[in-house]
Amino acid sequence: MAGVASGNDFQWCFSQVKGAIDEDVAEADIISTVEFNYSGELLATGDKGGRVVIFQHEQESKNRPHLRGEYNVYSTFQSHEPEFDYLKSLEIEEKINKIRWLQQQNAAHFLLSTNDKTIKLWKISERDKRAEGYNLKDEDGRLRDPFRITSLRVPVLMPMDLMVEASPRRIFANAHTYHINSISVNSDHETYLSADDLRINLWHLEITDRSFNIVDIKPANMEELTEVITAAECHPHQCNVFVYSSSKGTIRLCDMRAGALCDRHSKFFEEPEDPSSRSFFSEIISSISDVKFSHSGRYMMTRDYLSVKVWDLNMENRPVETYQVHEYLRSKLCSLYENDCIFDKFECCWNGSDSAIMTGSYNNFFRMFDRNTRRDITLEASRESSKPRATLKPRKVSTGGKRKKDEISVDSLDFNKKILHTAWHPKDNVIAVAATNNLYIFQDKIN
Amino acid sequence: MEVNAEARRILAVSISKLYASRSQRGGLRLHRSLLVSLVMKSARDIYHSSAAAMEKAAAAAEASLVSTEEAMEAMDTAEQQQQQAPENQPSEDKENQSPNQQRPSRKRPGKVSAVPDFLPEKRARLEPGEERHEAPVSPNSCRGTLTETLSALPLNRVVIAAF
Repeated sequence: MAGVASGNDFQWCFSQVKGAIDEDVAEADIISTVEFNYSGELLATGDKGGRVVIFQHEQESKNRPHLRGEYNVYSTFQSHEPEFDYLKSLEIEEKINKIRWLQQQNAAHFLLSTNDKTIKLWKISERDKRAEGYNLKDEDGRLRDPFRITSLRVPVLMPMDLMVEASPRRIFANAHTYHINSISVNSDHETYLSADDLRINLWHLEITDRSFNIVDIKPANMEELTEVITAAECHPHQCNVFVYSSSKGTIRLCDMRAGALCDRHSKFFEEPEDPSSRSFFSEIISSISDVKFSHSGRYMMTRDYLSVKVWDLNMENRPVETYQVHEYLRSKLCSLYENDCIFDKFECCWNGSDSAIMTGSYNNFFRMFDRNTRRDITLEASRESSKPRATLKPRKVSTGGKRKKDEISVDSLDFNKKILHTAWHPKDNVIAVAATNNLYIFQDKIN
Repeated sequence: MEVNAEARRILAVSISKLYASRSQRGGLRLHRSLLVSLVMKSARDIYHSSAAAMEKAAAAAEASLVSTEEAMEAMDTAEQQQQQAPENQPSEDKENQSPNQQRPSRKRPGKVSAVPDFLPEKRARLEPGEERHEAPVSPNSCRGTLTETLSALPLNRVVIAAF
């Protein structure tokens, strides 16, 4: 489905929007992570209030075959609650930083969700049958005396309304001193890693009372701290390989076979800085906010403040592709520093065939880049363009003096409307875009 | 001068960000604090280098002032002192700085010992040009006070204090 067609050959159409239309957005409703599961059947979102909402793809209806099925709410549960660290007098936010699905191995679905300090493994299971016909209790519910039960009756399973239950199966706590920024499930289906600002831990999914520390970049003297870990991910196929990115714009690839502690990297990816573009804010904008392996495992993509870079794992000294997301912001860095926007952490994602990449921007714009044709497109997630099956119109930001019709000037951009989290269906051309408290789902028009 | 003013403004904004981040829910964010401190360091370096450039310009102005007013005996001694002071300033910097610099600060890390003068200050300030030090300082530069202030601000300590 996501075959040879380029990102621009797609005609992205509005499909659905989830969330309240209210102008006043409650902070707890702000979506903080979006993730499709491996099949794309389920779509999970986490928010600042610690809740997880899972949507399920309904099959196409026979009446309206031209529509792909829609995503409807499947399960909602409170994953994390606010906590208080009494030792440090610090409140621990309940905001869900990341959700990662496990590969499905039986009827139930499993996902990992994490806040700043604690990771939880949730089991989401369906119950659509109920056992009836017990003769062990009286009509009022009291247990009958055993001698009064004279016949052996086997209960019969009767259908019931579908109930989706979410239960926490494991809680992985107390392993991170700093704030967790990433979790990643390993391809061995047994382990996963969690990363905070200075350390990365390796866990076994069955064991909650201990984890292996595999990376530790904390200096002996904290005053010598120069960089922190910003993201980490396991290789999609090689269970011994993982990468982590830093605030200095570098990526380190580590091989767990080399040693128990992977402080020494196997590969070090860094692009030399262009001295002509040096400014006060060079360090901030080079900090990597997200790193994602391609599905093939051959490439990885990094997002910094102004660009997305694709790296070939075989070449460490520079990326193979660089895409400018919103270069027009380079002259506005001082204002973006003052209003804190320069610290925004944008994510990025690959499509199923690794031929296109997507990332967010401001004014509810998001950008797609076709790696084959090198064309790019800017689209907007807005209520105005949310008519059913309406094709999204490409947007353009005017950078020169003269603003054309339908273009928007840089100064008119709304920096409060930022798209930090996006997800692309692993197989189909369906994308989920989180715009503050709303989740937009767009689909490719079926030809 | 513009760079100087921008550096000061960025420094002021950065300091206020660091202070504000302490009361943030969820505790001090290490990554963000590190980035802010890096910006402060850049701004401080640029501020210092532009102030040093100003110093050189001031020294050149002083030299020309001395040569033209050498004939006036009443000013002679004072001018010579002022001529020496800017030249000696770089090397005597350490001596002219706050004595606190010589020994480890006994204050808790994280508390800024001196309020930079580009933030609103509640306590009484000396008029620009007045000096707390006995050594004569060129009236052209109130840099002496600022230098000691900025250097007295250990950036990493401010950032790392909470950890």
